Amino acid sequence: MRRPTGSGVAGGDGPDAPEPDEAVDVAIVGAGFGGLGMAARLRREGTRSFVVIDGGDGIGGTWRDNTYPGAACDVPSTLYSFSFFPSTWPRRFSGQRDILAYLERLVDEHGLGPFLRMGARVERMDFDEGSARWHLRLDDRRLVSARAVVSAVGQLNRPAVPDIEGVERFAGPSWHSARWDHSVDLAGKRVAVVGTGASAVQFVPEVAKVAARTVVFQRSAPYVLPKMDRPYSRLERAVHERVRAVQLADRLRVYLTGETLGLGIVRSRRLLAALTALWRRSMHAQVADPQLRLACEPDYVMGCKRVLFSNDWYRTLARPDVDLVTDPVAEVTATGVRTVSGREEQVDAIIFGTGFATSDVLAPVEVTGLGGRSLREEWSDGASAHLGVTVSGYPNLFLLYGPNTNLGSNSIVFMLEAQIGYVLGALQALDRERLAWVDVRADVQRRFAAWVDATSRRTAWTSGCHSWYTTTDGRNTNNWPSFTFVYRWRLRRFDLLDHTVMPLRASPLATAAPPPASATWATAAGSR
Amino acid sequence: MTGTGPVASATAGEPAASGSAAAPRAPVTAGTLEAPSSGASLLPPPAPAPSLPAAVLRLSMAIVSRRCFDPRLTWPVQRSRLRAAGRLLPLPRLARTTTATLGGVPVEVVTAAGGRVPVPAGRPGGVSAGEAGLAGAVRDAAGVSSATAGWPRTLVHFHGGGYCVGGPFVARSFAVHLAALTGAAVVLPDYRLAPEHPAPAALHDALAVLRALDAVVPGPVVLSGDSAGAGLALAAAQRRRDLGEPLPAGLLLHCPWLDLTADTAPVGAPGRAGDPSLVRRDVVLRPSWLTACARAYAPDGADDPVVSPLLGSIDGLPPMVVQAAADDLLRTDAERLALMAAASGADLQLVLAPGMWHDFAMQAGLVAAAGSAVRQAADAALAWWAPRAPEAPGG
Ligand SMILES: Cc1cc2nc3c(=O)[nH]c(=O)nc-3n(C[C@H](O)[C@H](O)[C@H](O)COP(=O)(O)OP(=O)(O)OC[C@H]3O[C@@H](n4cnc5c(N)ncnc54)[C@H](O)[C@@H]3O)c2cc1C
Repeated sequence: MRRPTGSGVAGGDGPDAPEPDEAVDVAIVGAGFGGLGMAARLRREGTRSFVVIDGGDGIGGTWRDNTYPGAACDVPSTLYSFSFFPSTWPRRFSGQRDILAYLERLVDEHGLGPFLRMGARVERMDFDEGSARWHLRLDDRRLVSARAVVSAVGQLNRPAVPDIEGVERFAGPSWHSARWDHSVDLAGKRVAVVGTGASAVQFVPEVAKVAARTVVFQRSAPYVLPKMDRPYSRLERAVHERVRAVQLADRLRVYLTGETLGLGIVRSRRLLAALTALWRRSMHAQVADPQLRLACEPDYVMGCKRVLFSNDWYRTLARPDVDLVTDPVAEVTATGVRTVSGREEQVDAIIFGTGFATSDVLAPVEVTGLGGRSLREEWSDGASAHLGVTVSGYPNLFLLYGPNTNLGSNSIVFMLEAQIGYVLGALQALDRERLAWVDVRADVQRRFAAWVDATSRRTAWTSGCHSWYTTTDGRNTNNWPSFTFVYRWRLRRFDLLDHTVMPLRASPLATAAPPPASATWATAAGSR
Repeated sequence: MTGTGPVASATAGEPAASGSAAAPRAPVTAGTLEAPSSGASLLPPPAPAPSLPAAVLRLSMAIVSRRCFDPRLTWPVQRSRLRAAGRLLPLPRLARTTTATLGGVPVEVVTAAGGRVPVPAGRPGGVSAGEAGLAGAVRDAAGVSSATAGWPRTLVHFHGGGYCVGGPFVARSFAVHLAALTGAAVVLPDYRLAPEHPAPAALHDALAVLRALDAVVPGPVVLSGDSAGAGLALAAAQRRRDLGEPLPAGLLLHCPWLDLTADTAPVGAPGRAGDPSLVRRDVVLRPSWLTACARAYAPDGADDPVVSPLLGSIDGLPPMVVQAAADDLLRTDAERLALMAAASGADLQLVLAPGMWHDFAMQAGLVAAAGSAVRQAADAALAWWAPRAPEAPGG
């Protein structure tokens, strides 16, 4: 509520306020689904003053990084794509290459090329109260200034390699699944895979096909359900291309399935029991060995962590040339991996399928807002944002795929689309009401956070399972705790009254002077 | 100064006509206040409030305002029409209004009586607001009752009406909602009106009430006002600052009227009419009515901070929450105050309600935006009081 104010107003940036290399209305950070979707919508609105900044050397985010064999979405493509940019997909669950191609088409058809700034990461973002602008410092020393910032840095792009003793001692090649080393031919090799998360479930079957021997180190068994995947026939694709309604119907069906799987299993015991039975039947059908069946049995209730989909995961584990090790890994030696029980596996390569550092949204970026407050400090005991999008004290900063907007089993793109529409609403409100900035009210954000806490308490994922959904003290900072249509509904409209605002200095100051007819985005905010 | 003493008389304990003390079990105006309940709901807050569609209310406001705020009518006619219209405003049950006199000025004291009062999320516990707050204090001072003031939370709200019309009834609904959300006693002074009593009569009454309160309530009050009342609140705070008197804990200014020179511009200058699209959208105020009020209140000229506090300084004032409506001729006053605060580093938060009309929060309980505004005001006031509230140990 009480806000330290004042400092920056008179003095601007202080003595060392350098000229920005580029000044725009909107700076978008991240060129994955989120950033590119935002940019496409801005282009459709006719905006020209924006840039998309990404530390990578190409667009795509998740789908640029994850090139491992078998990489594919596990939400059907009809839903894992933007409704405003439909596409004809080769199969139900498209692979990484097709998804990346989709995003490249999005860039081409919206003419986004000239707006992309690749190859430099944003290191810090500071809000300057005097000019009411954000200053973004890139790691190549460039400075970008913007009226509004859309952070689309994703949640899953910093590979997490566990802190295992001796990793650097290993003589052979080793890599994380999101940094796949395509120069290594695994044919005939002995391969260790650490981790059995979403990525491992996809690439282990592919690796096992070529490797001489595959050893999978599992800390916690996942629930892996059958994936109803298949290529679309030529006829189906022709229909999809011409009859939009068919695609829409498919989108709806997929959506409802995702909703049921997600919150359904969390909220309905009967559904949970039915799905658990389905899972067990499918697992037992693929695995005969009672020992291995036991190892494949998760030690938590379904829904506690993300449910995974694959048709050949258990089949692969049952192969004679694949070993599943449930002993915790103790150390990596020059030639292999040793578990705590002393068992040592000699391998030629190690692949980490250990997922991503998740719970610190936006963590590597230093962000300061009104009165010099720091987002890192603000979030030291868990990230929180109003509707996952805005944080009080950080005017005109909008987060895509922010805190509490991750999902257990539905399309993140669906969430991103809701957020993009909401941000557009905010930008339009700035224009319409001739405002320099909007900043979500502290009481509004607090009320939302209380609702998230209360609602999450009822769900499985805070009921004791320490998954990547929660902070160390068991609060849910990652997942949306309700149905996704509730999210969409809640974000259908940007409510300006939920925000404190600052008028543009160019707004009608004296009533004697009529307002400038064209107080637009192009108009600088402050006096200088 | 009209006041003869801190508290000249008090007619406390007397349930006022409109405040029915009924059904103590029912949650205080639940549903209209959108107070968060402890149980989790599937819908994120704010829970949809049962509110009149804004368009219907807007139309009603247009009709009522055209009939009441018309410079061609005499002041008595305007006043009686407004009073009649005020009776249409539904008051939440469980509101308790008491009349008293503070510093020689008649006041109405509003509390949300009975039961636990919901407090905005994030603040521990509920507040029991039965006999608490100022209602008790007034009685103490008057020797009528020895009830101790349980809650040192007092908010003084000056009603709007262009300094010429209106009375506490204008802000009664707002006050009740605010009282329910904060557990505070809300004092609504019935200050003297122009043209019978031009400036600085209203300011003198305001100061008399505040000085009387200094003696009877522990800790600072929150100062609030709507429209002209918000200008009065700011002018009173400025004056108290200049005189070295106790300052309020914070200022709540709803659709404040702060610069009367904009309404007394010389003939030919556009004045408030300078933005035709805004004039069209404003369904409550018309420039000519504001001009009539400004002339009546400030016959000797409006370029004195006493009547146009925007011309004075805001240095050294407590934190402010300012609420403006987008379709309100006076929104520029709020915007200018916000810019002034930004330039001087003062702690001010401005909100702007899109599609809303002048003084929309006075229809608290009828329209969702009013509920949102009241929640913001309540949250701010609680934060300002927090260091003194017993539930916030250590402050
Ligand atoms: C293997 C895998 C499979 C997945 N499958 C699904 C699925 O089936 N369904 C689903 O809904 N979700 C899935 N997800 C989640 C997926 O992350 C989201 O669906 C979506 O891709 C997120 O897009 P984004 O734009 O928000 O983030 P990202 O795609 O992660 O893009 C963020 C971009 O921001 C850049 N960036 C980050 N920080 C900075 C900085 N400081 N400066 C500059 N640039 C920066 C990164 O380089 C990156 O390019 C999957 C994730 C992974 C890893």
